[in-house]
Amino acid sequence: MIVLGCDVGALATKTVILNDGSLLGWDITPNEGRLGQVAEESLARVLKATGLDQEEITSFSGTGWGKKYIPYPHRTESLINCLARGARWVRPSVRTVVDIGGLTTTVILLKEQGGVLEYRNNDRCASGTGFFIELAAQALELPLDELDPAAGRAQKRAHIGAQCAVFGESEIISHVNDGVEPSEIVAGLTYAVGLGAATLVRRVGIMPEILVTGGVAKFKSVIRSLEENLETETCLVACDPQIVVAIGAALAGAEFK
Amino acid sequence: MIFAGCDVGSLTGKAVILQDNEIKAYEIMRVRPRPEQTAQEVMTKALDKAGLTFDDLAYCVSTGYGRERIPFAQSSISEISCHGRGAHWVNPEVRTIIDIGGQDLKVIRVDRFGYMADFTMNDKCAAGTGRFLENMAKILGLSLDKLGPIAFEATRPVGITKTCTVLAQFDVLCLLTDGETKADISAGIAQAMAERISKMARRVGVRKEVAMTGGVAKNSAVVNSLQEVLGVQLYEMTQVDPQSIGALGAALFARERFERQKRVKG
Repeated sequence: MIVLGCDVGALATKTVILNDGSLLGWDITPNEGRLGQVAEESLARVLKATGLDQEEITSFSGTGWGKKYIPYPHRTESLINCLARGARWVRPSVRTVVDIGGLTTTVILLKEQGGVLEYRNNDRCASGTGFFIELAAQALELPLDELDPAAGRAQKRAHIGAQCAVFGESEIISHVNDGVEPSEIVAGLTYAVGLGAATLVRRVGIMPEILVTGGVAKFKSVIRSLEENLETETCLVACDPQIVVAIGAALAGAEFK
Repeated sequence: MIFAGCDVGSLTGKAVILQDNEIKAYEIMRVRPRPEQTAQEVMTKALDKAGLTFDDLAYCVSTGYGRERIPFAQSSISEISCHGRGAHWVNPEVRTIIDIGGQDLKVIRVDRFGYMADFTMNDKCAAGTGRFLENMAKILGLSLDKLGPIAFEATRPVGITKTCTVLAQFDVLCLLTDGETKADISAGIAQAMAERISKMARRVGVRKEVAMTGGVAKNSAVVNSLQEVLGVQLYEMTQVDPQSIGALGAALFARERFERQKRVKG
């Protein structure tokens, strides 16, 4: 059974296609403010990548902050539900899921059998999210894929005290103007993001195994900071961590059928 | 005798030249990368307007976030004191000052002499600050000075529940996509600001007369909403630019310090 899941996040739209539990193809497209059109584009891209026709797909499920903007007919699922399912699919033994997305960080504790035990997100503040990293990268005039290498080169970390993404950006600009080494600024900001996520995790609780998902999970320096602040190890996903929620949405659709 | 005050904030720099108890000239500009550059430039511009030079200044006091880095100032004083002093000079009946700058929101209560009696401040979160309005204006594709007036054309203000600047930005993006008008959204933004501000203000208590200072005081929609939410008419500064009040207070302190110095020496 071929099923599709679409996760419309704050910063990017992710679409995946599964067939009987196997990942056939996926697409990640940045939103750039064009909410409805991106879902269409992402769908077109994933169909092209898999060589499938839209008619061959038996179920379309949408989730995420912007799911109401998905223009093609679909059923909807809660983000928590999709995150839990997706995480279990990529790593059956997971108990704690830390999803660090564009605007929201979500932490879920799973029961041994897989249902959700407890969850929390940072719904009042955008600190420590992907948006902050994007703002920072712009301020530093660095492409996102150069952040990890830069953090790795740093001899020390520049201090970034602000939790607020807006103020944090100003702090970074001040550091740049003061001539602080960019690699040190990057080290400081990835540390701050990991610390922010760790603080949220501690409010929910930690149970191994811990899985980190979401676009921000692609930054190894953030994961290192998270692990340092939680004093524990985390696991990585085999697939792109940014599509885990979309996978969960597709799986929910399959079960529904 | 000519005195000057220089207020270097996070987003703008302000300079005021005081002579014979009158504001001879003032200037407001966007900050340069370094506070020293901002201070030098804004003060030079103000002096030029007054037809004066740095040598004409008897005393200069600096204030604001960048106050320690202004080489031509003889001393620096906290912006809280300067705002209190400046607002009191404009209207001696002022007892509560709501100062909203680029990155912070302060509520200052002053006594009848203009000295600080109590204050509270938010500088950890951009909600309710000038940054909030700037970001909103950007998303709506409006210049900052159009954001206020357009709100008065609202027919049905939308509710913006998120105080976080970043989250509210995304809310606004959704509202625009859903077809809400800029006027209605702007009215909702003003309302959200007003509620955030009044929450802070109630911490120290609101006593008339209440004045707003800082750049946000120029957003008529926010002023209006705030009056509604607080249930009190604000004293509006018409003769003096509310954004220059910090620098004005610094100039007044400059005069005071100079005269004290003279007495001590004499």
